[in-house]
Amino acid sequence: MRKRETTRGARYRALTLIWHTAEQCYVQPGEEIVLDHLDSGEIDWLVRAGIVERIDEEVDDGTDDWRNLVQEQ
Amino acid sequence: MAQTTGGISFKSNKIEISTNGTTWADISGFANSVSVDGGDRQTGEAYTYDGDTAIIAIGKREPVEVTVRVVYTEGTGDPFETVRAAYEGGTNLYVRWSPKGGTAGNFQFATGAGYVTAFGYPVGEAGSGDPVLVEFTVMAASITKSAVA
Repeated sequence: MRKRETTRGARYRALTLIWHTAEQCYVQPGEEIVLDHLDSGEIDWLVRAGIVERIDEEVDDGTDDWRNLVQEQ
Repeated sequence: MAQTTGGISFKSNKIEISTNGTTWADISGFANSVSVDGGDRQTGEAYTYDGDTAIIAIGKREPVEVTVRVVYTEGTGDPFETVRAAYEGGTNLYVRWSPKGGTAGNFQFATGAGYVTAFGYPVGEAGSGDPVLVEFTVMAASITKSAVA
């Protein structure tokens, strides 16, 4: 399984109180937050700034794990 | 210790007002200044016969007053008319601002539901060429800091 190249579609958790510009509401610390309205650079900045954290560090990019293929045979 | 490189001026500040806390109007193109007063936490002190210093206790935080100065204009949805209506009607007004401009990752400071406690009608002198500015003050329970995303 390779690490996903893009952050789009990934899941994130708020680490601080966040005003969500797309949904026009507050997201409380610890709650999941959808960041699909932001580009990858903006999301990276939020992660580096400690405002959000990625929940699923590794996401299946559609490439089958070779071990699964062996088991299927 | 190294000197910070993160200091900013207030030139990029984004400021918005709302009458319901949901729909916000960007008044950055009207606003000239924003200031905050109040919000002190109440404290008390008492002395005993023993010891040489006071016993300190803390209480609640006082309300905040956010004062905004805007350019006086006469458009229907312009800040002067929006705030005047809230002031004269005694209805809620919310204020929020983001010193770095309100883009992703910036801090934002927002009042809860407040009331306009002071409102300046347009005044001026004949000899001045300055744009007319008016000032209003919103009293609210507190200011909430959040990050924009």
